[in-house]
Amino acid sequence: MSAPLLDLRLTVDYTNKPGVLRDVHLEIQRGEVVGLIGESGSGKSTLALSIMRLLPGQAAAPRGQIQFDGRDLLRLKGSQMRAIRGREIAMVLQSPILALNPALRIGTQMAETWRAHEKDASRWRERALATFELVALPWGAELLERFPRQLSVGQAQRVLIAMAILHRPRLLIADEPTSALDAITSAEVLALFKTLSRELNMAMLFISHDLLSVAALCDRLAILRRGELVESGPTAEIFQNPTHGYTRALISAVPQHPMAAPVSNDLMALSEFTRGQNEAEPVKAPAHV
Amino acid sequence: MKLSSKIAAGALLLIVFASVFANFLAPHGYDEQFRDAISAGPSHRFPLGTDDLGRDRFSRLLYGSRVSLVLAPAAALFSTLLAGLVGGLAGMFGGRCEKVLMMGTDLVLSLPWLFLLIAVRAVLPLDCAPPLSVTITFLLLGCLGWAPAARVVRAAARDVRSSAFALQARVCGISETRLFWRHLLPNLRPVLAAQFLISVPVFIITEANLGLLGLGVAEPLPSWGSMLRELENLGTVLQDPIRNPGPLCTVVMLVLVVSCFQLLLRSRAEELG
Repeated sequence: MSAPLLDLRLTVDYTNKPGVLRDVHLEIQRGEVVGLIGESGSGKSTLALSIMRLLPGQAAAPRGQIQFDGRDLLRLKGSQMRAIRGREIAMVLQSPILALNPALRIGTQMAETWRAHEKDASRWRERALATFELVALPWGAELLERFPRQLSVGQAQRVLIAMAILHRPRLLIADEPTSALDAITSAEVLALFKTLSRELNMAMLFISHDLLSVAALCDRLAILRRGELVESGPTAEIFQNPTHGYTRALISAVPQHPMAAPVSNDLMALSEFTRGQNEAEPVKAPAHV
Repeated sequence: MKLSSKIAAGALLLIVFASVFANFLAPHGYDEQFRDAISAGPSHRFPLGTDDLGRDRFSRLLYGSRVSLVLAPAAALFSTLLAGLVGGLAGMFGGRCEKVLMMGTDLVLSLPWLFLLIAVRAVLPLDCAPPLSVTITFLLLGCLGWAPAARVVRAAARDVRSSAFALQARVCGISETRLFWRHLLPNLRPVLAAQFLISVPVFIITEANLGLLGLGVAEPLPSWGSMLRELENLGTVLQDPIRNPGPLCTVVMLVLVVSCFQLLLRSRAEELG
């Protein structure tokens, strides 16, 4: 097996909050989709921003190493890191409406994203339109003339995804990309990520607090709790045989309502299976609410 | 467009028209003296009467609009650009850069600007041409007027720096300089426009105040500020309250027009959310 695309071992302290990440070790193979699951404040976003080297000012420099394709990102110069951001490692942020510049047309923002890494500024248009098609955005060229406020949240999220994959990166970090979306849009966007990772053969680090919704998408899962990686392994293995109590708790926190739409029948069956192994029977939600 | 903005646009057009075509519209020259009609009341020959040197007030009003219309906005533009640059850079980059720039701003704020103006005018040669001296005065006003605006701009720029879309731009690999010019400045546009519109009337009125000290537009060039000086003596005003309504009306009109555009800008910004 070849060397992983990303291999990181990381410790991060904030000045007012030490131990945000404690010796977290994570590997991502080429083309592999890894889900990083954890509750709020567990250090998921810190991990993502550390890889991009965009931690806010109050954070001490991350310690450890982030090997990306044979280079240690933590030892790169600022300009070298900028050349990687957006071209080799891209990121999708969680609040789509806020992440688009309200003062600029979509086309301008796509052009800026293109120009950040390409000298030939004239080709951005065809590439942007091709990418819009890839993320199933309607309107085509007309969309380039629109302002962010004229888009729905779901469309804005697709525009962000299009911006992220404009340069066809090798690693895409998605930081809770569905948290601002309603259930249906969120399901569509998750399906889109799955298609994209397959079609572009793109590795993905998919960050979420919702284990079950991303499980169908991910080849491997890593569970983060209070800055420590408590468990990681292939998705099916984690569902069949969770070794850590926290993972078991996460799996049994699946909606119990009989009317709840099963995200994936296989996974529901898997979680039923693991629940049987727990001594404590989880409290069932009443049928009539 | 609402009625109020239509009226404002109409009034502004009228003032611009009057100042551009002052040569044709004015019945007399601005420095032409009529010794036979000193301090005359309004008449067919002198629509607004004459001043105590026998010059036609109406003609002087038309020519005087040039100072208010050209120099005040020019100085306002200059100071707004400086404020955008200093405040924008300070808010955007933070840290040591912000500290140094804000220290400079505080220093400028603490300068006694009136003394500085008097000192500069004292250094200029006495036979300095009136247009040159007034240009220097306004340039100096522009150089001094940016500091309060820079603080407002810095606050707005700080919001942009910590915004999600700034992070998004960085995530896409956009460089900090490009982030400043292409992403920050367009978002500061409403703030900068507001600061510009606020400073235009301030500079017009400052010119009027400076005229009182002899630091404004030098005779015989007319300006609304220097013409307002006729009203400085309470005795003469009480004797004849409607003696010289021209410059007062036009200054008020121009300031109202500018405020109206400010309101329009704000309501548009609110519409856009």
